[in-house]
Amino acid sequence: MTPMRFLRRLGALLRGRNVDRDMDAEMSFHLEMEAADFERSGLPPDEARRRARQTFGGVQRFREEGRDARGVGPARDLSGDLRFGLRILRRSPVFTIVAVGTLALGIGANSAIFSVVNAVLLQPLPFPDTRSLVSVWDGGHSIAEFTYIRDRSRTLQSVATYFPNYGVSLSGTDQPMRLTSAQVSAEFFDVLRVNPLRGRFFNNGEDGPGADRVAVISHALWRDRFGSDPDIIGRPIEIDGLSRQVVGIAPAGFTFPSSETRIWIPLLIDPTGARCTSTSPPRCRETAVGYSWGGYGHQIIGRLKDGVTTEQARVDVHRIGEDLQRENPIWRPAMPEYLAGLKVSDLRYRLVQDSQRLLWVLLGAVGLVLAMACANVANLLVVRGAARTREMSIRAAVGAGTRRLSRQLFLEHLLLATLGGAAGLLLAFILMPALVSLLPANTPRLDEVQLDGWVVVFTVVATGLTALLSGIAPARRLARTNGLQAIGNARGGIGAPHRRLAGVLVSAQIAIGVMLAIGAGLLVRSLARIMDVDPGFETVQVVTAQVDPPRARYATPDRARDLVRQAVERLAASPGVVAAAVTSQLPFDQTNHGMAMWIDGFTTDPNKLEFFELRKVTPDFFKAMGIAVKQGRAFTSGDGANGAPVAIVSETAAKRYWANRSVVGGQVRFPWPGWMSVVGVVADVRNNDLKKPEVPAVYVPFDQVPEIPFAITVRMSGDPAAGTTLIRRVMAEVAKDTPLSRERTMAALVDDSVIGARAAAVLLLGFGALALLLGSIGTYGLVAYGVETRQREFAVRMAVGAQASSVMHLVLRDGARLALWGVAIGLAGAFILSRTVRGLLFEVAPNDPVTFTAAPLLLAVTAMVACAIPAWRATRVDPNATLRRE
Amino acid sequence: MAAPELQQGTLDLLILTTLHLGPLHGWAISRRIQYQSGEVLRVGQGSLYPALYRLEERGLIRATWGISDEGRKAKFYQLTAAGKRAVVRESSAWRTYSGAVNLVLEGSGI
Repeated sequence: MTPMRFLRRLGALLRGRNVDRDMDAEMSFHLEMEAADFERSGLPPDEARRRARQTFGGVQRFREEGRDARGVGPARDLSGDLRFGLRILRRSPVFTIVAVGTLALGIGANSAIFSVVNAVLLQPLPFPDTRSLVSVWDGGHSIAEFTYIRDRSRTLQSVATYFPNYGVSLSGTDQPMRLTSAQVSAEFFDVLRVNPLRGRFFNNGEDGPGADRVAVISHALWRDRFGSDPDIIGRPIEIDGLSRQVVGIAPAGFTFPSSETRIWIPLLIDPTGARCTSTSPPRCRETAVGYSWGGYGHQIIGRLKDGVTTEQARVDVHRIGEDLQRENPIWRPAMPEYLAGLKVSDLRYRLVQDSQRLLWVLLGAVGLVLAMACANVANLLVVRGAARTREMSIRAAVGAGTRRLSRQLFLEHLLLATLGGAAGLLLAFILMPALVSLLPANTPRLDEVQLDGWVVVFTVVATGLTALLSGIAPARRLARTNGLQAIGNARGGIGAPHRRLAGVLVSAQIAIGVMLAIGAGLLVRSLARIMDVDPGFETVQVVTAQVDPPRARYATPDRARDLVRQAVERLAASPGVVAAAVTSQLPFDQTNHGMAMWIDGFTTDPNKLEFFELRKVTPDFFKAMGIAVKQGRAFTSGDGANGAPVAIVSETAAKRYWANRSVVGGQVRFPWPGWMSVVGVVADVRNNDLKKPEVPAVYVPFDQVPEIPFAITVRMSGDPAAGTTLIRRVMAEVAKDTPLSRERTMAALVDDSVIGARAAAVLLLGFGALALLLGSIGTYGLVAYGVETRQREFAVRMAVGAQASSVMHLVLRDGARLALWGVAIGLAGAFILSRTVRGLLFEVAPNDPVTFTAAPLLLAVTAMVACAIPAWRATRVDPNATLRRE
Repeated sequence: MAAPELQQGTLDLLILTTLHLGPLHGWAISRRIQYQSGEVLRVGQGSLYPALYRLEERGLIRATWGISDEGRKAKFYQLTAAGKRAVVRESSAWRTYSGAVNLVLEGSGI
């Protein structure tokens, strides 16, 4: 279009009303001239005018064609059609509310799930240049390994390491509190390329011994704890009983590596640690354990040099791994699978890896819900369309073109979808907090979930798609209606083509319903299987709390022992307490305390490590937790600091390492010298995840290897809530500056671990229920409408002697055919799709026969019930009354 | 004999040619075509006005409100410069085309 023409057209559009008036004036002039002509030829004036109008033809058509020719037609008509559409929707409020409501549910659920998917999986991390950020060496490693990468890498421009979720106490104030910290090497913030809000981040060398008394606090901590005081920079705060100077404040929203991070403190990188080799003196190897080689909880992040791919970086890291194996054939590098574990991956991918399957499955499922909503609304439109056939025919007869009618109808659907989309967006806004709270708290980036522009764009696209999907077929069908036939059909019943389309839509709904129900069934059965797993300990009556005494104040073993002894004694003596104990790690607190052990008579190669879950416990731990002692004895007060070193192992450990040998009396040791005698075997307990099989566990007396921080566990005879109050009181007495956190029952801890599975099951169950509801409405609506329009046929049948049962049979047969098709298609779809949920299932096969039988049966029965009501009503037709009415 | 259906392009050419003599209102254009064609071609309003608006859209004619011979307010159409060029071009193309069609028809001996 040339600019001139565009301007003219724009002008015409703006003058829209004038154009109409112009054309009207021109038309009436034409008519008058024509009439005058007829008059001249001898007709009386009235007759002349009539003839003129006759010759002229349809006035409406003249206007439309004129507008079309001027190019203002479409736009002008659009506003008219819109107004008309709104009027039509207002005229049938029930239809409008049901349709808009259905779409709002479908679109809203989609937008809500998408907002999470978007924030967690799609949005780049909130750092600059995230493309070059990589996670090196997935799955945790030691500081020694980090120094190798840092010093030898050719593909990374900067590397940092950190230890996430390190609990520390903020003391020295009236209200001690536990904070989640991250211990980070000095390069950490440089690698991420973030800038401090105030002050500075760590300088080179501040992760070395003696220079590390500094800390960076998060924006949230600065705001909540220090009242956004700008003078906090340079002031000392007490972390774990150690004075550290606040050097900087992180920008708002920055909490990497986990959403709970409130403070960053330097991670000590002792340069000597990395130099211990198999030929080093034993002393080096001993002290290195748990620090340079043994502590495997550290993560490495790096920034790729320009133009380097992650694959090149992986090759580079692999080469360093070979160096490590050659130079340090001890500990982990000595394990055969070591090199295979050396990976370099996109940091974002690494962070969201564990959450993505759940989120994609949810998005897929909610997409099916939207498809269902579309089918349902399409169905409503078809049924309603049948009723509007006459209206359309009349409009076509007075000169509306087929295209125009299609557009009008499509516009109506777009209007419906837009209303649904707007309501859906509102719904998403309302649902989002509930959705976020339903998801596992350890889902990364959950704090970034928000209703942003992307979600709005997604909603708009979903809305447009919805309008297209739900509107096109009915609109085309309706606009193509044969005018004469429809006008002639005074009863305006539902024609065969309409019924066929509606039938297809109902089958589609049942099919989608079957798929969702199967998905929900699989996840619910899986959840039930998970919940059935016996964790191996008592859950309901056991109250626990995490205790983080300022580490510096309990640096000597005696102090730690004293504190724990006092706490346990006082707790045990309190009313309502069955048993009280302390452990270095609670099952299901989502931490791991793996430790390499040597087993006498089993370990032959000292470099081949056997990993145990290690817990340092006070004597009554097994009693307090309700863990059965299977052989030998539990710990006693005799197993103290000066007693002979002893240990207790789990049944799994006993079976694996003492097969055909006597366990009690066996010997185990940590990788440093000092054998411990096994005095007992206890029942297995699950750790952190009910789905994971037991790993060997070893328990040692707390007094023999005291450790700070620890957890308290108290078994109550009565109300467990009293236990929490009790623990608080006792700890306030024995260690005033010690913060308590995670005050939960064991039941709650175990429950937290299934949140992911529960969220999946609950959400899919919700989607399934929604699908069932929509499906039954759809089926019921179609069958009921069919019955209504066939009343006369039924009346005739019954008048000539048909039994009520045969009429009912007739209706039910139609419904059953639709349901069968739907179930068959749904089963096939579910068979293909169920593979995608395999990773979320526990002890349930993706094609679990029970679910694959029950879910389609449920849908089929529901569909038949939805058919049965109108079918029954069909038998109530009074032939006389019906036929007389005709 | 029934009035032959006018092709859109043909009608456009007829309108432009008619207007070549001077400004006319819509009714007069239809009358002029009817008269000039020996009452063979009848242009109904259903095709006339859309054609006029289309030509106006294309910038070949321009409309102004004026007073008709009968002293009434009427909308007059006249050729624009582009319209004048188009008449010359289109009419010579038409002559070539219709001459060619005639040659074929005469040669067929029907």
